[in-house]
Amino acid sequence: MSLLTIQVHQKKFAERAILTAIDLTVEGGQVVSLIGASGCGKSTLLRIISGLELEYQGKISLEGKIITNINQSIGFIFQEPRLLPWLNVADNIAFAAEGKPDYPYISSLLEEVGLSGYEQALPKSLSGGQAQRVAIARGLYRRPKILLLDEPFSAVDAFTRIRLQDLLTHIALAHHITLILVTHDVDEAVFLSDRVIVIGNQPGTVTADLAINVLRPRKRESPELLKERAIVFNALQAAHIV
Amino acid sequence: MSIPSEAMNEAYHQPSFLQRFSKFNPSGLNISKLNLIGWLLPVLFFLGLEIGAQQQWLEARLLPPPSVIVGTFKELFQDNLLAHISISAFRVLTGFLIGSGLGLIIAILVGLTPILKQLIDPTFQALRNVPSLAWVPLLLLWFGIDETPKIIMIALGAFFPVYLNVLSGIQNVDRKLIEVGRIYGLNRGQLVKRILLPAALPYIFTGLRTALGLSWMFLVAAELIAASQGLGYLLSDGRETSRPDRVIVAIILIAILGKFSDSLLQSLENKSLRWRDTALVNHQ
Ligand SMILES: Nc1ncnc2c1ncn2[C@@H]1O[C@H](COP(=O)(O)OP(=O)(O)OP(=O)(O)O)[C@@H](O)[C@H]1O
Ligand SMILES: [Mg+2]
Repeated sequence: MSLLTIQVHQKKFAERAILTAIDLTVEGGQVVSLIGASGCGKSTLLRIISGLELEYQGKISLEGKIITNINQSIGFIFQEPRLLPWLNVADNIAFAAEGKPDYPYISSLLEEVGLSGYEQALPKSLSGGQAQRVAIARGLYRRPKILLLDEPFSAVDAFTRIRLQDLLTHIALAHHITLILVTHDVDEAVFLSDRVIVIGNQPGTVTADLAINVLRPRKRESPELLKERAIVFNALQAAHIV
Repeated sequence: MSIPSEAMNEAYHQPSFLQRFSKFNPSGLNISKLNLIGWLLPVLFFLGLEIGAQQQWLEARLLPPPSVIVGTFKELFQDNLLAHISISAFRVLTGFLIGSGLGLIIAILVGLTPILKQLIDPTFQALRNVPSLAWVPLLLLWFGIDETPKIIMIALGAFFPVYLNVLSGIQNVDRKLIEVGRIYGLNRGQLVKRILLPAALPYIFTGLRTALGLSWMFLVAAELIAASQGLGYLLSDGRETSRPDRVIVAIILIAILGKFSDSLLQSLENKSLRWRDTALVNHQ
């Protein structure tokens, strides 16, 4: 049985169709990227999967069960860190805890994202990249089966982005977390993903579904990846996205 | 809060915007000197009064100099001044607590319940425009002239600023933070406690501090009209007995008590809102 099936027959905002005829199946342990033109409905699709957006025609099922609301096996990392400014770093991660927070575990998560010793720091004292790493740690706290990420690295500099990409794939592989990632960055999509899904525009629907069959660990500038990159680029051109 | 490492220490002790800004101040004044500079105007004023009275440029009968005021203060102190102060402080505190407590609770309910907002808010918006003194005749008719009408009046004064600020605080909470709460499965009650109220805290404090100031104002209004004790009573008594020195002592005491109570709230505010990332942080 597949981990996740996504069927969105139609999603409208104010009588305007945003998404239509989307039918996807995601297997456990995969890294899947969604790419497409700005405004084509990628964020909306992610919000539908997460249960934040409930008004649409279609259904989402997780391990065969239809889900109709926020589901604790599905985590969400936003484009912005969205830390609660009144809580320190440890308590921001503890925000994901259902009962009593496990602070030693939080410290180990912080170590994993390279922020040991920052437990007591307030969000206002963090850089953008540090804050986003705290957000990743918070997203990982519940060990979700699926982690949805909406352009998680778009607000950080190029070097931090590369480090966060490595960090994220490392953690996802180590903990068997399935990633569904929205990105505008073709290189990022190709490097990170087992599968790149191209969403066409107006209304948004799947125009290409490309497997990236390159073994890990991958090298960013390897010829195989460059070949995959060209394929993705052609698909984007065919869909009139670039 | 314990601070983990040297590096973090540094981050916390970074100078605030104002502290850095003050470095460019040509007079070279820093923040701690600015606190002292606040005393300059009142000191100059009273010095002028004293000299003016001694040189008989001013009519001491109408504008008593500080030396006379100090005498009056001693006289009043021996004659039950503390009782006047404590009854006024009691009225302010009770009225403030009742009014701001109700304001807080009702604003939270109204802020969370659209139907309640449609029901209540227009009425409150209209009522808040009624000047405080307009309530006095009604309150006197209904409750006589004992403590109740005074405390109700102060509570009325404290209610509206808290209600209005907390309501706008709740309505201004970033939708993005609320989504974080939803993603982690918070129910309505948890959402209020863990996201809405902390996020609205700056507004809550603004409301409370305005309410406290208005409480002192309404106290004086209430005591001027009907009281046999309290600082407002001293004011009207001073007028009736032609004792401007007594009026001035009462004014000074009201100013000091008002400032003192506001400072208490302000230090609580600074402590609770240390997380805020604003230019005025660390500055009072
Ligand atoms: N709450 C909303 N109300 C009305 N229209 C909306 C709303 N949210 C999104 N839309 C519209 O839906 C369309 C898709 O928006 P969405 O945010 O999903 O795009 P996107 O693919 O994530 O774009 P980007 O790459 O720029 O983030 C846009 O045209 C947008 O204007
Ligand atoms: Mg988007």
